[in-house]
Amino acid sequence: MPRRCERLEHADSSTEARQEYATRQAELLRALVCGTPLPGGFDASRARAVGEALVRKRARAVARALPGLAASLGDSHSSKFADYARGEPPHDNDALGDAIAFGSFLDRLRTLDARARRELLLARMEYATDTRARRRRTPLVGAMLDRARGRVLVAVYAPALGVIEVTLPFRSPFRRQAEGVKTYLEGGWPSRGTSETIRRVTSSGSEAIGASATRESLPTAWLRDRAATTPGRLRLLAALLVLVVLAFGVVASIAVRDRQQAAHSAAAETEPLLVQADVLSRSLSDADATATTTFLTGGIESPARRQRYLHDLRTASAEVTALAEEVHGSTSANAAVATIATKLPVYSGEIETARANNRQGLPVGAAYLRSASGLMRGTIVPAAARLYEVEARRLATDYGSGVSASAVVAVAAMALVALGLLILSQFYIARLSNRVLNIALLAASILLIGLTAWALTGFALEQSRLSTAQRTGSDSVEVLSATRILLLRAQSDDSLALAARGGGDQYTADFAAVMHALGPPDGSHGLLADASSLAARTHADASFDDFTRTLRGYEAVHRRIGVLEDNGKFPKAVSLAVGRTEKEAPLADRLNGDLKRQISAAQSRFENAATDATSALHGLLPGIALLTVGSALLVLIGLGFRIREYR
Amino acid sequence: MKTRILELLALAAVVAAAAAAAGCGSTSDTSLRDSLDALRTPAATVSSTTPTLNPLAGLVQQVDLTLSPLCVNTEASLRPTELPTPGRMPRGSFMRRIEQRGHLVAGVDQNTLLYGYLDPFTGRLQGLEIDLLRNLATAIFGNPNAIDFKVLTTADERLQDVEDGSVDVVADAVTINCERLQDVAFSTVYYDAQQRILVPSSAKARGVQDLGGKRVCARAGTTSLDNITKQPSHPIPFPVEQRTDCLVALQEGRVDAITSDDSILRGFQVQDPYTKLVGSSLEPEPYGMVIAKSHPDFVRFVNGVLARMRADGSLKALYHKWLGTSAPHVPRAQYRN
Repeated sequence: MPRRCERLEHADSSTEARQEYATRQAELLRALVCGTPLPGGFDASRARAVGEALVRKRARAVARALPGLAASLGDSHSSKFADYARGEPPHDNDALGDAIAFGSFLDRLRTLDARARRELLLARMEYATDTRARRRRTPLVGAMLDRARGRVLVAVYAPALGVIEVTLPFRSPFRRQAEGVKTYLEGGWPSRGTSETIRRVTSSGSEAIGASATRESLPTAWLRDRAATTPGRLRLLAALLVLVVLAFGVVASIAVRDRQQAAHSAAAETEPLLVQADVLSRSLSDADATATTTFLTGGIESPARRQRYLHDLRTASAEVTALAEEVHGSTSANAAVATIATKLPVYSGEIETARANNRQGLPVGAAYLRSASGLMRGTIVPAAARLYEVEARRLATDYGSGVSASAVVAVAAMALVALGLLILSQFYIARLSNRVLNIALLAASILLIGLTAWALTGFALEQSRLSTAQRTGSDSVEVLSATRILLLRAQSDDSLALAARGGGDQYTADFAAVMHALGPPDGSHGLLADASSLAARTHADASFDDFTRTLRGYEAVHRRIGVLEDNGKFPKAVSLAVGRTEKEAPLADRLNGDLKRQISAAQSRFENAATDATSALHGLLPGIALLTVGSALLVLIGLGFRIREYR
Repeated sequence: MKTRILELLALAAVVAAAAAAAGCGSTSDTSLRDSLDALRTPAATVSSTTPTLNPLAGLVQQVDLTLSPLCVNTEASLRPTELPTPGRMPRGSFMRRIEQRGHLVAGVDQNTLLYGYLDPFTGRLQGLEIDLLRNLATAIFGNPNAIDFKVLTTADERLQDVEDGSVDVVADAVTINCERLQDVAFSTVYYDAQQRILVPSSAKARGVQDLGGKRVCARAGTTSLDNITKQPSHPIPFPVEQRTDCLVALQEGRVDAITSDDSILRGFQVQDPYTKLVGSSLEPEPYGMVIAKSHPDFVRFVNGVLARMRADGSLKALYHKWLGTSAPHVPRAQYRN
């Protein structure tokens, strides 16, 4: 006796009579649906007739559940089902399950053709993903091999998508190529051919189970209803067009805002911070150079030098305070500001101690000066340089995002999508209504084209002006500032070497290293090469030539001082540097002055170009808002006419 | 269709504009990179051969050195010869070469008050050792100013510069000892210093025995630093490059005491009256002028000048000029042949 038929014995009873009754009932039922011997007391022929009627009823339900299977079996369907039904009791109110069991029974006997097997596979997928009133949440894969046509059918169930069917060629297991992908989304929207196929697949399931309403998700059903009629389609089209046009507006606004922010940040935040950091570095270096040079001249410094030192210190303190407020976010910048802010008072304290001791003629003053200078050159100036570097990198980042191609590409791509859709819908409407022109849609397209052209022109202008700001402005500022800082370091080296009276080999070496970094005045290499090419770019050759002439003079005097120093003529060397017959200090001052002028010229070039860059995008944001909303309205108007024609 | 052509043209225009916008106005960070690279030029340092601070190596060397004949009496220097007339140095002598050069090259310190320091008022070097060297210049040229002072910044330079010939003589509080005698020659002792301890006047320490675990400053490469590391109370040595840096460190509270020669420490006391000398002498520190071993004739000449200054009282007068009443006795010269 088949296993599942034994289960029919189960019947709960309390009394013996009920037990007996239940047993007989189960025997009768078993005899009727499974063809076992009939219990006594029943008319055998009538019982057989009832049994056959039951099986035929089941067969009809199963044929409805899997019509393909029934069609492929043809006349043999009922006899084969009878064979199957003899071993299988009916499923409670579950024709699809019964049909799948029947199909599997036949499949095991290898009597099914490819069409029936495909239907069976899809039915199994549906059954497995949709039995318990709610849809399955995890993906499922089923496959069948169609040897006759040399292909594999893979059915994949993904929660949000439904069942997707993929046919793969099966020539060799190593050469499988996707031949075609058919998407079986229930209630599928676009092409008529597919939706017919789908309807067949789904209707079979829905009839069998009787649960078609819960199967389709609401949005797709809504879409299908709308797409069924022409005015519905037009409404959908209008919604899509408005959406795309507004999306274009959003993308363009974001792109414009990014660019505007970058240009504004470069012009109004990072570059000014860079200049502040440069002023800080320079005033610190200058304070040190002035203090050490002062020591060379003897106990009482000239009031001018003292003023210069105090001015440098004031400037540095002010810049540190300002930078401390404006540098946010960057930890290394904050650390650098903290270092400068805490060490600068120590430095000035040591300088004042040096000064007080010097005034009494005590050599410990020189030791204090050395200590202070070591603190300045070893800790404070490097911290200022780090700060400068942070700001310079931030400016570079602003330039990068100010000219980034992604904004242009995004706007252009979005414009192409929007315009393409607009044009396609105009063709569609022209075919639908036999009218060539839809004025409103045409106007919407022209508005979009105009807006895109405006945005792209704005981008191009902003980009080229920002690039000009960098190439002729901030590049020069950076290179010239670095030159000035290095020259001040060289000056300080010179003074310290002289102050060490022949014992300052490390300062002489540092001077040489600094000069090497600067490169020769002819600008063949080093930082001066950059400065020279920048001067050529900005037509500032004349003032740069002045500067290099002075630099040559400075180097010549430096060499003379070196020669005097080597020959033990210290008093002469010192006086050539800073004393009564001083030659070097005025030259150094002239170099600083030259650089200062060139830097401020570069700075104003930067400011002009950067301001122009920001103004290139002026008005674009409200323009985008206005024009996109305008063209969206035009789309609605243009399609509204057509939709109204259907009422 | 008219619309179609119009719109295709417009599309083409959009694409062209996008391409143009993307193409023009690029930025580059060459200038940024170059200027940052230049600013990053590291502070140049002069490679100096620093002596290894391995105490065992010192011990091994010491065992060897005690066998050296020079170490029998380290203070004995070459016997002087008769001094030639200034400006007429004997032919072939090292003094003749100095004379022909036109000036004596002397290594000194510019931070040691009373011995060798730069007077901030005049911008000139002054002190006991400077005056001694000027006497030397007078003996060679008849002119005390025919001299080129080279300021020595590290203790090691004092011997190295003599060895490599970049200076003729060094007078910079160099203690004569057996180890140094292996490399250079010394004149007779011109000053007998003692290694002492200087502390702030508020300090409770009464000698090196109370400085266990305290930071004690001394110049790197000096006998004072070696000596303080050997003390049984285990002070923490705090080496600095230049002597006077110790006073800065003491005044800023970075060290608890300074150890150096009493001569130098007296100079510190003059500059900072809120200090006191404590404890007894840790070690005698006889000063000699450093001269290259290859110039024994110059050693004898210098000793001759010193002998004359001892004899005519001018050395005593120099002591009084710089050290006043606290001046010690002028040490007796000891000679070998």
